Amino acid sequence: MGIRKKAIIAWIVVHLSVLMLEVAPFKPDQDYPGKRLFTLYLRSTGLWQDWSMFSPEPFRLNLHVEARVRHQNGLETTYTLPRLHRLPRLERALMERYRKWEVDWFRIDENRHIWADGTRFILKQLPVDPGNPVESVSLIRRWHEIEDPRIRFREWGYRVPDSELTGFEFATHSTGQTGAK
Amino acid sequence: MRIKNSIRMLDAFFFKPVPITGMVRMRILVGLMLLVQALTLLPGLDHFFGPDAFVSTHSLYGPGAPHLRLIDWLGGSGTAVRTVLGIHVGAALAFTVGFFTRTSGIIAYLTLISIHHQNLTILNSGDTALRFALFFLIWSPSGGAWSVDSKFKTAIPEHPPWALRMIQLQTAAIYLFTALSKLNGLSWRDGTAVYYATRLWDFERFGFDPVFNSLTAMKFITWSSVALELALGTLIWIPALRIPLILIGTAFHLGIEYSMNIPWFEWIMIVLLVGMWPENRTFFPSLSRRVKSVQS
Repeated sequence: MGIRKKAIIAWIVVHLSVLMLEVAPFKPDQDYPGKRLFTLYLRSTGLWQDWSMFSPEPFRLNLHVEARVRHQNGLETTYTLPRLHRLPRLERALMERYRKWEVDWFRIDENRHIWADGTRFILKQLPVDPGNPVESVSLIRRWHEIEDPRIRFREWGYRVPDSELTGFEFATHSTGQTGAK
Repeated sequence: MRIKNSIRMLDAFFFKPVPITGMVRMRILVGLMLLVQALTLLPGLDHFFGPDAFVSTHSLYGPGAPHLRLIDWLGGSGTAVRTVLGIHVGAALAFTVGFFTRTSGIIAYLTLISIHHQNLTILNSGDTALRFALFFLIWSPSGGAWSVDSKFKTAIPEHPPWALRMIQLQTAAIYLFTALSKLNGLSWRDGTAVYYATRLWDFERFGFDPVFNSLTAMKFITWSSVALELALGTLIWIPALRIPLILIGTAFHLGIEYSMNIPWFEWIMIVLLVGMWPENRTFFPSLSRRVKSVQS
């Protein structure tokens, strides 16, 4: 057996072991010898992966993030991040990456380190009024929880009015523009 | 004796030369999917990457993270974003037509992971699948036929298929791991999971009425999805079941593509299923015979 073939076999064994120990749903919870190397292998080769499509449970919230924007003169406006179901089908597909960021990352407490960036992004989307700058931006999760169908069965394509959505303000960022004009 | 036989079987599985048809087919399809994926980045390019992005790499990783991020290394400006994406599209195009196949594949891969590292928050499973498919194709002789490199030679050489086998094993692992993970979920076991998934407004596309409005039908779809995913992760290795499972799996992904807004993921999974097609079987036998008779 040539050295090239031996190297390929070793690589196959390592790769399949990494899949079992780092990616499989039955992967060990505890540290094991070589874990750091395996993680480094996945990261450095770009082969990191996680297969959790609608599993172990599908998401049960119809959720979006809003920003309550407070101006220096006390005026409050609301900026809503893209709500895909309100867009035409093609646009909905094109905007999917925004939903991924908004719902899977931005709204989550563990990801508070990216809230400031998101707030800055929202500020850049707002019309600039030099005479009445933005004083603060509050981020609000708004959602409707899908009920157990055995208790309340909802028809496909159902909607609830915005007034029935639950809301929770999860962060407020000041722009440093507080004070009299 | 049994161990020796198993080793011999594994050796044949990874290293017995087979026609490179499967690798060539995958090169073209994965190349096309790379181009489609690049297109999906265009509508929000400045919001995804660069100085106006909704998340910065500094916030994502902190300072000095070791990830390959060509956009940051080129200054992180809008021009850097367009330069890296432009190089990526050029390399993907060259890879698809098999022009300097291995080099273009490596460039496409390095730019792909740079783009992915630049903003992890917009990635989905389709992006992940594309990464590993391209990665292993680089190691295969996928430019050996139907390519500029081979002067569009249609005679198919043989080569050890280990790189294609890795893509196939990864594909089976996706189905198996997903199915096992779903079996841990209560709603997949009680049959309500697909009901919840179809009630997510942002995922809606076209409904299957009255199927989507029947809890019995929803339960049937939930359980059969898990059963199919388990079969695609395990039974697909049984030669007699492989083609039927590929066809059922393709229909399953087309059904999801029709009814749910999960862009391009289903198409990438169909490409991966095409990669499972047995080397000794052609897609359209009569057409293949006719091509061969014309050539001879």
